[in-house]
Amino acid sequence: MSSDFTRLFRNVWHLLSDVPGWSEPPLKLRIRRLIPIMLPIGLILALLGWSFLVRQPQINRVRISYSPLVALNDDINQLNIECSDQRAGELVIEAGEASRMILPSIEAAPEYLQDLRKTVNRYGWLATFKSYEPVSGPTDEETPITFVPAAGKMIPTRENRKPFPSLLELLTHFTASANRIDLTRLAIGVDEKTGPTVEMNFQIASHRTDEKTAQ
Amino acid sequence: MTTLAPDRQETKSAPRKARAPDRATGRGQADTLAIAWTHGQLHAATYRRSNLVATWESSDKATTLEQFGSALDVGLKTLNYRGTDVVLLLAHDQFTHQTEACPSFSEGATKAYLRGRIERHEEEYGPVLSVAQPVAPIRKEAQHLLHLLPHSFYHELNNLLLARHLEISRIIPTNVPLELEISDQVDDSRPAILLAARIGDSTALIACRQNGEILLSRTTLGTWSDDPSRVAVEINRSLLYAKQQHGAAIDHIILTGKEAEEARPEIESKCGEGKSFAVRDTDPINRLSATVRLPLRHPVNLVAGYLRKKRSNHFLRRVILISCWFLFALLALDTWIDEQDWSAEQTRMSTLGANEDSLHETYDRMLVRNAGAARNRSFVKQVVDDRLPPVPDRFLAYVASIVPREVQLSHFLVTWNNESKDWTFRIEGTLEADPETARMTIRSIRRQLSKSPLQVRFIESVRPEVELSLATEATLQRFTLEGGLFEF
Repeated sequence: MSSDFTRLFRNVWHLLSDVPGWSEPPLKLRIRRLIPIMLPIGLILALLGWSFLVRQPQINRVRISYSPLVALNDDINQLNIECSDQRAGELVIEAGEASRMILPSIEAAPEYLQDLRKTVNRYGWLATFKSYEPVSGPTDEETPITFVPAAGKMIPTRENRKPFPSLLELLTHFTASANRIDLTRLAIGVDEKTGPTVEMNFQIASHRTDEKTAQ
Repeated sequence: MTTLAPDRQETKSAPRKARAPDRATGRGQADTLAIAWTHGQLHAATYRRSNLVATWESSDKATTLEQFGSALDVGLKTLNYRGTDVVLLLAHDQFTHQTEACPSFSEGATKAYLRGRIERHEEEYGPVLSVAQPVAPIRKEAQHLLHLLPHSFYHELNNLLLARHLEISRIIPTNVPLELEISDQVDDSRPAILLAARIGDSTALIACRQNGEILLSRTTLGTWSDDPSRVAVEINRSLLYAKQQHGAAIDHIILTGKEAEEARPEIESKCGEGKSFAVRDTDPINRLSATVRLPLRHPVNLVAGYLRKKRSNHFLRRVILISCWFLFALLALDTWIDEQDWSAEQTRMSTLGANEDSLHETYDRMLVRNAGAARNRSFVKQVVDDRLPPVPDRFLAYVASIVPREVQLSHFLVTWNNESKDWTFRIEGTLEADPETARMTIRSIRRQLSKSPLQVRFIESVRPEVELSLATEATLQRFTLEGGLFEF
């Protein structure tokens, strides 16, 4: 192993310090021939040494001292990427529009149902509506809205000769209304004597008015 | 007779200028100087593109390198040679030739064997330049003629020539031009020929077959001018060797060289009956001409491999040199770019440092803004996006559109299940028809519901089948359809 290394070293030495036309040149000449190769190697080593031992530690020190500010700047950029000012403004407008689609409070539900009854009546139906206390789920506390469950029963008025088409129109009005009403159950019973009877369950979206949301 | 220029006397062990000759001197690249240094005799000739230009013969005997150098200076002056390329036809005491029997089962084995022989020789006598020339096998055993020239001798010779701005491109042993000479004479009537050539103070004997195979090649000290009977004995021994070892009966002998004609009768008388003798007057210059025409990579060129290795080493050294400088340039460039980047980064960090308070304010403002935006997004999603689709009224409208006139619906129910997040339905009704027609009608309704664009699906968990309750004897049939709405 050692002899292999020695032979390799000798071969490399002879290759690099070879003097053309001189089989055994003196050491001085060999060294002179070696200079053009050793000079760049020396410069490379010096440059690497300066870079890794002097310059890089200096740079690292400065970087470390500024790292909190750089991280803060990165966070700001990230926040900007997540949501721009323009998008934030648009969301405010969209939230305002959405807010108008729901009841201002749970307490406003009876009044709203009263108005709804009048609307139903315009379509040729007589209705009775009743709202219940909202049932809170485990995640409800985090949501800004709540749902007021309501039930209704409708029968056509005597003047209503076409109850089924008017019912379809009424239901369309119901679900396409500006206020959010989710129809969760629709039962239609047809009796030859009494005529059609419609029962429905629905929920009306409302702003949450408990203490947590108030905060 | 030999006058040395003052600047040439100093370069005995080392070349004064060890580099390629100066082209400004007008030396042509197409010119070749061929030197025949054969056992003391020195002949030289210059060629331009293999065409003979001038010849010269040393009047002094040159056996040592010093004598060779002195004589060469005279020759160079006489020939006025201005090229650099030198071809050397060499026969010298230092230049040895030995026949080796090698294993012939593979080329690799032969090479390894010969390499071993050369290494053994080098261990004993020092490093050599070597080349192996195949000769005729003996009893199916490959034979090679090893030409061995000591490294030290070659370097002294090379340095001597380099000092005169000459570069050796070929060193050829004398048996090569002799082999060329003899191959011209071999024909069907003469299957094998022996050539005895006077080379300086010695006589070279070479025998060749019709196919060009060398049967033997040897050199004996002494010439027919001094002792013709001794030469005759050597010829007889060679003939006997060729017959015994190769089974070749040589009956034609060619004598060539100085005073061959005079020695012929005596040699002929000693070699016995049945042999034909011929004398050819071959000038050493003719052999030089034949040697010059040999290619640079001739297999018996002693320095071909050495020069190739030397050139590749020079090339490798140059590549390393260029690579080192190139690497250094790249590294310097990389360092400069890094410095530029660092300078820009430093400026950026300084700006951040100057605006530190503003950055904190911006960050806090953005946190509040994004939290508000997230709340608004969630609120909009809950109010607008999470709204239940108007399934009941659409399904009712669809059912009404597909139910035929004879079917009377008595009960219709659509329910949203908040836990399983799906819609279920139940339809009850009657129709006036016989059982079979009723069954087909209900099946048709079911099929239309299944294939409707409203994506109505009968969910197995609700009720796998549509149940049809039919009173077989009555015309009023009751039915119930129950299922789920997979998506709407």
